[in-house]
Amino acid sequence: MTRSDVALQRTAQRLNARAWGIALGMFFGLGLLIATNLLVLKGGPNVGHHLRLLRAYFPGYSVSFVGSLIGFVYAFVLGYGLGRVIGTVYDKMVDNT
Amino acid sequence: MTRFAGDERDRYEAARGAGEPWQARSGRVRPATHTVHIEPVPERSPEEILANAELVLAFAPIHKRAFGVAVGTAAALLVMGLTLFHLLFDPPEPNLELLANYFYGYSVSWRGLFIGTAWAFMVGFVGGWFVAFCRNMVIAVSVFVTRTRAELAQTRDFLDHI
Repeated sequence: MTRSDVALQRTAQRLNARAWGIALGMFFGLGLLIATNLLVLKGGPNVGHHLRLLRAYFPGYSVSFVGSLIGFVYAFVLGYGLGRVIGTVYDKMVDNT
Repeated sequence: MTRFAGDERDRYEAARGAGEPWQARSGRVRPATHTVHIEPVPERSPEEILANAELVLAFAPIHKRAFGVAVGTAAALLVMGLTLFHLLFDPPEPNLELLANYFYGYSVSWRGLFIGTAWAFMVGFVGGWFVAFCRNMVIAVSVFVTRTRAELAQTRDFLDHI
């Protein structure tokens, strides 16, 4: 394998950290948004008994439509951070091997 | 000796590489027997080269160990952050101690912080490695199927020539 082949392989193996951040952020954000609104639409006497525990970590979040929007922002930020970590650490590892 | 028409000799050389292809190994020149018509060597256009590079990029396998370490690091940071939050602010709920059901030895304490982080890294590493493995296998199988179908399509009219 020539030097250019190795360079091409490394380039092909790299992840786009920003893209990973946005993708994971959207995944987390939309996941929480949909989960919250599904419970709101379902209704009942005690809506989102477990999901509302997230307000301990996400101040302002509640199992309501407005709360789902606030939760989307929090979850997106969390997912973006995790995706960014995954992309950055992966790229560093690939560069060092 | 093989006789060439027009500039076919140059193309033949180009196709066979350097050397004297029409000379026998013993050094004796063979008499002309037949004329060879050689298909011209197709040159790759810049678009083809670019498309090939993009294909390599699209089907490149994920580095399993690196992906495992990356996911493990993210999971470890998440559990570390959650435990730190509980240690510093002590919220009444949720009960993070329940994680001890999966992470043996974990507790919301400074000792549990390190145990939980180590557990999360290990679980994240295994999960990430497995995801990368599955992704690489699916890509490899799909490339194999596509290539096999293309080869079968190329030889579909084989019986028509017999």
